[in-house]
Amino acid sequence: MTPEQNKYLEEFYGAHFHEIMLHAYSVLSNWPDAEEVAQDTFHTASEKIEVFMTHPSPMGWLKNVAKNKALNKWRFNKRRDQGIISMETLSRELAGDGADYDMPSVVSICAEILTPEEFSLFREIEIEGSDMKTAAEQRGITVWACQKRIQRIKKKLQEHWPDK
Amino acid sequence: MAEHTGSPTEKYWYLKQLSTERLEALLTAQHGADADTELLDAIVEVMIEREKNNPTGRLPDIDTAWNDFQTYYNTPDGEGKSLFPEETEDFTKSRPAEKSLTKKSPHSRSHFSNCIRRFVMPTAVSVAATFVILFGIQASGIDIFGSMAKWTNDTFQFSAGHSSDIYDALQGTLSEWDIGNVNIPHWYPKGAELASVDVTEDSETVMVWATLKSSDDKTFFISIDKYDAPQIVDSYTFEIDAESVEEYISDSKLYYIFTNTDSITVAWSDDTVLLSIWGDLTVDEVKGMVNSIGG
Repeated sequence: MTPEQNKYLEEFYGAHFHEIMLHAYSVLSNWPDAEEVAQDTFHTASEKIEVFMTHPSPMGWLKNVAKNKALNKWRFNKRRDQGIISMETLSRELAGDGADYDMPSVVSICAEILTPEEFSLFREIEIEGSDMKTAAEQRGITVWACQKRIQRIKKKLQEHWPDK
Repeated sequence: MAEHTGSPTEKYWYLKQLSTERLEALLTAQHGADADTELLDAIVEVMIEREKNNPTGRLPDIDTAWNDFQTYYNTPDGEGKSLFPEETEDFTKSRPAEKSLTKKSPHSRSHFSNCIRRFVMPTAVSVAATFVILFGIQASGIDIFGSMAKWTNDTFQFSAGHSSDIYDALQGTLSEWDIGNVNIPHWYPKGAELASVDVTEDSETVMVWATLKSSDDKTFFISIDKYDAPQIVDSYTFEIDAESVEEYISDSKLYYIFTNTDSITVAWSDDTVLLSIWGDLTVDEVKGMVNSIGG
């Protein structure tokens, strides 16, 4: 970005970040998620700065981006919740018919497959539902590095359970 | 009474009298193809202003947020990436339909301690003061934001005009939601009509909100919040900017009447119910409705 573009983005951010966050909240009903979506929205604005700056309605454009991202986050949350249900199902399968199942047994298998660091990140993001920025901040990395690690972790688990 | 024209915030002036929790619920109800974008923008404006004057932590400090943006998001390794790539699927298709409204089974009354405190009590006033009334239940270190569950909501349209019709329609809705034992006004100002009733529910609360209009296009509202969980998670804060407040006793119940130049609010609570009436009303009209409660 040029200095002029950066200045435009910073001023717009200062004036409208909360507004965008509230629009995201209207979809997600969760403040950390809304903040994460708002940050990702402004990241997209920075990526498409020329479109953003020259759009006839920059705020309308930004709200639309935020709405679509919030919907995607909402679906991500649903999939995550379903992933937890899948782990329960898998636990039952491992325990066998009629036996008491223990969901943590699946989790402990994940712990065996992954390194301690990988497992910690996986648990935070995929099971406990922490936002990416908090996880990134704790590890001193960017959200993108965090995202990349999660993708690698999922691939590792999928290789172990290709049918699940 | 002042006319309310112009910006959405002026048109939706009553939003300022709602609690932040109520505003959150209204905000999340504005989604999909039927969203009222003007109302949504008005709610956003009120919430930002309120958070600016009394930060609760819902919205981060802007400088901190910008620093986080620069540190964790707007970085070289984020080029071409997105946490949540946009999709343009129709929201009404992608989000499941609102869950079917189920009748709640009656719950036994829980025992809560009431806490009503008045913080400021000016005498003759020309300057508005902020009155904070705490109804219901004291919190005990529980995260009230984390406890907010998904809301369901529904809106019923009415055309009830006479007082008895309004009472019957509203009472019918309350009975539908198993809170028919709550006493509501039998009398309503002449010419008032019940326009709609909105019901919002989560795992611990049912909120019934009636919109009424009078013959000279004035609007006022009645809301009944019924708390039902055995361990309620927060105290309800009724915060209002008013020029004066009056304690009014009717049928052995204590009501608070808040008066502004352009609106009047009356509120009452017991262990599990919060009743409030507010809008373009005169003090006599408000007292008339209050006097008819339980009659």
